[in-house]
Amino acid sequence: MIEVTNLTKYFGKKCIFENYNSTYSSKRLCIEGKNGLGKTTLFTILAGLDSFYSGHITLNGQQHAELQNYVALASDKIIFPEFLSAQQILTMTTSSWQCELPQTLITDLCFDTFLHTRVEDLSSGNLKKLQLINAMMRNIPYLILDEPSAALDKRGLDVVLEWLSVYSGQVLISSHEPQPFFDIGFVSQSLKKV
Amino acid sequence: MVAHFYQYRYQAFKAELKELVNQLNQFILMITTLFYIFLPGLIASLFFGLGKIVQSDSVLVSIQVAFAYLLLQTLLVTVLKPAILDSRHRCFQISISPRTRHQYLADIVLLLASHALLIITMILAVAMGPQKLSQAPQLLLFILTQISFAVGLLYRPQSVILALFIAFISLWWSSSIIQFLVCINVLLIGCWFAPKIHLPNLTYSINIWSFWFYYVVSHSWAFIWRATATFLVLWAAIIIQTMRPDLLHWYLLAAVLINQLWWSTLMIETNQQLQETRLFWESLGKYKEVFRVQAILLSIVCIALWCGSGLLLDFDIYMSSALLCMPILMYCAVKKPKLIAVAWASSSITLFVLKVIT
Repeated sequence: MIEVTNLTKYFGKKCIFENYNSTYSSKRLCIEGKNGLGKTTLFTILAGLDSFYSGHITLNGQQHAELQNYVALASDKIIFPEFLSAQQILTMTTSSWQCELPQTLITDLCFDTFLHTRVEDLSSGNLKKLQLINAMMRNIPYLILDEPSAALDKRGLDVVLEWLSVYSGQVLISSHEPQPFFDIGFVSQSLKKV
Repeated sequence: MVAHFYQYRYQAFKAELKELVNQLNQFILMITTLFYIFLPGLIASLFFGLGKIVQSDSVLVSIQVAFAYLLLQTLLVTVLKPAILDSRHRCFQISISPRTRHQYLADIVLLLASHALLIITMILAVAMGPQKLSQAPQLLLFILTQISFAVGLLYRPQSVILALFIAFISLWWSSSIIQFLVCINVLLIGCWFAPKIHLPNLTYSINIWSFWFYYVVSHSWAFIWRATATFLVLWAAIIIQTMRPDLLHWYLLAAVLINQLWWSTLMIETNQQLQETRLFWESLGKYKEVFRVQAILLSIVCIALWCGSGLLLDFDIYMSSALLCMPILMYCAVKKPKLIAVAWASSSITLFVLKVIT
């Protein structure tokens, strides 16, 4: 369970969240909201990648100084160094988090042939696959996928849905086409800011 | 149709040039302010250098000066190349002028109009008049070489780099300037038709140290121009050391400070890379580490450069003090990049004032 208490976040003078409180308790949750409401910003905060906010984030009732140790995020916001190959990006993640390269997932997503392609040369679909593999391979209790189906081909989406249906941790996603995720048990929760 | 095309190219060139000047505005202002009294001397030294090509007691000096000019023009033309070619809108150019000869003609005219070093050489040639010029055919050959290397840089940069590299190796073997200039032109033609060199795929294991190696490989231009500028500054200092050893202690400090400026501004670029990919590094829990490695590696480069300058020329207390400015410049590059020029100018003026007072 992820709990957000009194979250206040500004981008310059623009207020994104002000004393925002919410609890995300469902194991498979689709956060819905209009564009520009702050879903991606919330996800980067929950994943511990943005420390410029005030408020508290708790995971199962516990506060953690380094949220990224427990939460993995796949998002367009995470920009990979464009001159590295996909393999090098994944190697950095395996060595940083002591996890293994998910060869089966890579093969199922038909990504093997793109492992040696530089990030800047990847198509938008393959870049999305790289983001997803990079987050899913960590096998940690919390997984956040920001628009996981965007730019993904049909086969890729099926593989992701199959993988998510057996994943044991809590998953938060945002999607403007959520039906395939509802079909495997995701429930909707609106990003309401009072 | 054709008039529209040439009009467009002129407008595009002007717009690109304006953008370039805006980018370099602070730097130009800083150099002008700091070396205000040296500027006429600097311009005169360009003519003085050309004079060495026209007439010199030493063939080696003539050849070295010619090579240095070609190296310097390579840097300048590379900076101007996107503006000259209007690279960003090359496809659009084809859409408004299907005939490529117009495109090439516009490229060459813009190249000749913006090639400052070539214009200086032309001014000297005109000032000499036809009679004196007939006694110095090497100057005409040098003008031709400037043009051929500049055109080569527009369309076959690899050939220019190869020709310059081989020319540098053969600097000490040529028996006359004319022979040298003919040889490097032949070399350029040979290299023009050489197959494109593909760098091998580098597959070193990746970590936060080797990450910077990959950065260097993919952003090689940022390093090449700094290395070339450093080389030219040190070379000029060595020439001054030979000709006016009594003035060396002034030029030594200036050379060290200028080289320090090139390399400390590199941190603006590397830090920009880190900021763009910050969330990636945060997601790995490595942001602080990769930032630290960046500072360590750049410090090593600056210290190595300082040691090299000292070994080549001389060490003195003011030159050693220049090394102390490095952390300030690196701090500015990260926290206040817009103030780096002010920080560099302030520390340089302080050192020069201290040197004058003591």
